[in-house]
Amino acid sequence: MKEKLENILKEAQQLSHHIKNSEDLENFRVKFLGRQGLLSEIIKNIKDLPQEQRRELGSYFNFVKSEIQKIYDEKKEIILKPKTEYFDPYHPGEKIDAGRINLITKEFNIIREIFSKLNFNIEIGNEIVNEYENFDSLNIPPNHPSRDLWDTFWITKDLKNKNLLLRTHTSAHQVELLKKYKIPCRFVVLGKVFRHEATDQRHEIQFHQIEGVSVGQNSNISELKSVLSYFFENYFNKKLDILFRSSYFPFTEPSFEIDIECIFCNKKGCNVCKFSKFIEVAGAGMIHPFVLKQAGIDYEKNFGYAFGLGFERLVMLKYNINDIRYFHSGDLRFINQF
Amino acid sequence: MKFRLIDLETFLAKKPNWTKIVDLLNKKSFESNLYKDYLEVDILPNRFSDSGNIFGLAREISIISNIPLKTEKFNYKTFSLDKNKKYPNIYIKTKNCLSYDGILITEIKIKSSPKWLKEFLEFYEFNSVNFLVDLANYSMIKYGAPLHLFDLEKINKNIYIRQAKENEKFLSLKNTEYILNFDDIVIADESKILALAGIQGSKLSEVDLNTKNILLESAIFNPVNIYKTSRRLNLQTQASYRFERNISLSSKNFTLKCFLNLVEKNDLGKISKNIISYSQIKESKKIVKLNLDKLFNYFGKEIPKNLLLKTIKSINCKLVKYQKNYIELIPPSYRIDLNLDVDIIEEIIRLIGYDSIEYKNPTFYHFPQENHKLKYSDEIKNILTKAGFTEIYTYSFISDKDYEIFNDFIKNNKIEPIKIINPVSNLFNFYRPFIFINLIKVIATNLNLFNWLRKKDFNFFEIGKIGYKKNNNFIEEENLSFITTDTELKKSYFKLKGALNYLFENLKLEKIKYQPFSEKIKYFDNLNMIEYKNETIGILFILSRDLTNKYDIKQPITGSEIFLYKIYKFIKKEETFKPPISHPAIFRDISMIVPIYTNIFEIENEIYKLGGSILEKIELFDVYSEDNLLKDEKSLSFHLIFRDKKRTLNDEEVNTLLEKIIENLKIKYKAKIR
Repeated sequence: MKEKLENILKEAQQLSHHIKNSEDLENFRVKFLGRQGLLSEIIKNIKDLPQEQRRELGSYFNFVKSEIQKIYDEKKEIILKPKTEYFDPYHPGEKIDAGRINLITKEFNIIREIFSKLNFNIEIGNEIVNEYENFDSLNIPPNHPSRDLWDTFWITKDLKNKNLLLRTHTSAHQVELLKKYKIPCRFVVLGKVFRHEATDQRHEIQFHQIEGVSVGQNSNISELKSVLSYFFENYFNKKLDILFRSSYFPFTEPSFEIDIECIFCNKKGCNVCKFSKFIEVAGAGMIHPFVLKQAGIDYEKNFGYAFGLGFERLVMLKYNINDIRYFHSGDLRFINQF
Repeated sequence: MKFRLIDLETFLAKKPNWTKIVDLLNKKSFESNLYKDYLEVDILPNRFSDSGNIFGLAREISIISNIPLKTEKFNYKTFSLDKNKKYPNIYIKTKNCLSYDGILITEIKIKSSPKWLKEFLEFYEFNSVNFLVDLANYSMIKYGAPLHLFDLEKINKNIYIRQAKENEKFLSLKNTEYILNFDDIVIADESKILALAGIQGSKLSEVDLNTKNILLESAIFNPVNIYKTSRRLNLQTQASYRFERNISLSSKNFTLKCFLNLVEKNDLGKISKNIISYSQIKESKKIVKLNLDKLFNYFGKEIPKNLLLKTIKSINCKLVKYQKNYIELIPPSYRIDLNLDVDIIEEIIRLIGYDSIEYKNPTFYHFPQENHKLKYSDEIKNILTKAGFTEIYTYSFISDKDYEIFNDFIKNNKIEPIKIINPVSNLFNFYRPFIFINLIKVIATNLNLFNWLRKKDFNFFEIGKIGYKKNNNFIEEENLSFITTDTELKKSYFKLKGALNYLFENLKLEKIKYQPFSEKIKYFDNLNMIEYKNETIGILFILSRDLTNKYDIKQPITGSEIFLYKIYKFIKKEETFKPPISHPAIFRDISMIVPIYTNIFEIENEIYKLGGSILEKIELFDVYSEDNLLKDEKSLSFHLIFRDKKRTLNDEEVNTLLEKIIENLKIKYKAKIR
């Protein structure tokens, strides 16, 4: 019986070399491992043997069976496994269809972060404000030519002094926020503002402004200089010279305009700065006593500064964008670049 | 304003280096540009009264450059009026006439102007009329104050300077009739209006070729009245521009003297003594007290005494007192903008130069506080971009056409859009009451732009302010809108709903419900309210084909608008860890056939309601409506997950509950269970 088993194993080993396809494989299985196969036949005979022989042969039988099974499994893997396709590692990857955060949000967040580091709280404010907030509280009285500096979209015209309008500047929140914060304080208002004007590459009916206010014993022009210089350096990732020029705003006194060194030509003169080497980016000044008084602040003892930056102007400079109208166009050719 | 260099040079003792001057002007005074033979200067509105004329700008240049100022000397003879002749009496009947000088010039000769004057006026953009009128303009350009000439013969007896009466009529130089009201100041005689004060004279009193005698007016009017009148009538003139920005007595007197001097020199007529000289304003200004600590605080450091004194002197301020802590000074009369201590501070700092101010780092005032709204909106933006949506910023306005299309929808929301009184065009007539309306246009734009790529699927969102009128209150809120489009409705809608679910899941807003609008809204194929804790937090919709056609879009659009202020309060500030429930869940599947129009949300809601606290979750895993089903049926299959937090459920109770759910669905939705 043992001999028989040895022969079966030998035969199986020899035959294994001739298994070329799944048909051969199946024949092999039927012949050796099948229900009526050679091994099944043997097991039937083993059952009838005395106990001692049965134990001895049994373990040998298991050995043979597992060897044949092994052969079968190996061959099966080779034959039945599908042929590996050619894999091209240079095939382009899957296209990821993720959305995108708009450039306006991205740059806003950068600016928010810089001003947070400079100890400014961040505010948003309403877009619909009244005449007092946008004008009167800022020392821009009715029927005064200084109102002409802001072309306004009006919502109501018949409520005395409380007429509603779309804010023309984020300064509209100065008095309200000074009241809310108490002094000393620093805050920045970031938001959309509206101007009734004809649009072109540099003018839009809506754009964004960054209004900064600091009131307290150190809030003077020296601090303003260092705050803005830190801001520009961090926003443009470049140390930039800044230039203060005398100007006029009804709500600041002294008032000045702030230029930064042209980021395109390093003060050599180019088309962007119109060969002036500097580019105007902000208006600023020491808050007018009239405004402090509106906020209930003792203007004899306290002072502070305010500045306003044109958001799109900064972003356009940073990325060399030539038309302000892209920002609200919804044009993916623009949006997807950032 | 443009200034010829030769005109400025007449007032400067030395020929300046103009390139340097422009540099100084830019830093210390006004934005300026130098051209070949002229300067273009953007004179600040508060400085126009002193620097908006040749003499004034030369004075400013002299101050910043230290080139001495050269002044003109005037002298002319005046004759006393013939007491036998009758001349008009001038009565000031309004407090808004601040100063008024009337002088007669008799036996005048009307000539045309010499070449130099014509050239001068041409450069400053004035038409030449005749020598006399031209000299009045010349004097104004040189010294800043408007003058006015009346033909004496055309005046009927006396003159009254008064407020206009309601509906009084004024005939302008160009023969246009204007209707006046009480805000307007007029110069009138017994029977007619001779001039709209500070703006324009009337045709009825105009100097012409036959004029023999004239009344010369040199006046100052209340700028507020001039501003109001010229804006209301839309009648802006050189004179009104100057009067609005106020005129100083000094400028008025210089202009008048300059003019009279030239009248005599050129033998154009005989100058009378004043027939009226009225003024309620004084030339001398009030003392300004300036606290030196305040000045040094602004400047950031102390300013040496000699520099301070030199600077004060250079702007012609008269020093009254110099104490340890403060100074008192009187600003020059021509600087009507200098009244407060801070005005003087500005003068001192700008003249010393902003460049000399040092940089000082800010010190800590308070701990920075986070803006929660911004934090949440950032979070939402991140969630939606992960879901494949791109952030857009659109205009905050909608058009007449938009309003018309969405009229039914807006009315059904019981709101009114906010109308802009003075829109730039009818594309921007209303402040947007919803954001999605403009996102539809963004879809149209990009379908066109990417047509060549055959790209047809777009997913956009925007977070921004919206506003509307409700019960006559103006309300401003923040919304989130998102919108999807694709060639197939199914794809578009499921993308949208997937994103909505993803958003709510991330914001931990559970058990959101969709409630169909009770009424059919024009242009909406489907419109649902999104509800959370019994509050409507937004809407979800499918736009009709008629609507997309109106925006030239030939494929389905689905969208949603979320009222952010309603969900901000629900967003949990802190997340807490919940240990996984150790009690095992029991899973059951239900498959049913229901009529094709059955609302899946409703079925889900019904199952949730019946399932009670032990029904943890339902998941729809299969929907189909073809094959062996009838045409008006569909098959729905749900996974139901039952679990109790506190104990292990047994099969029997779940089976009983499931039976109950199935019975209910059979009755309520005619469901056939498979």
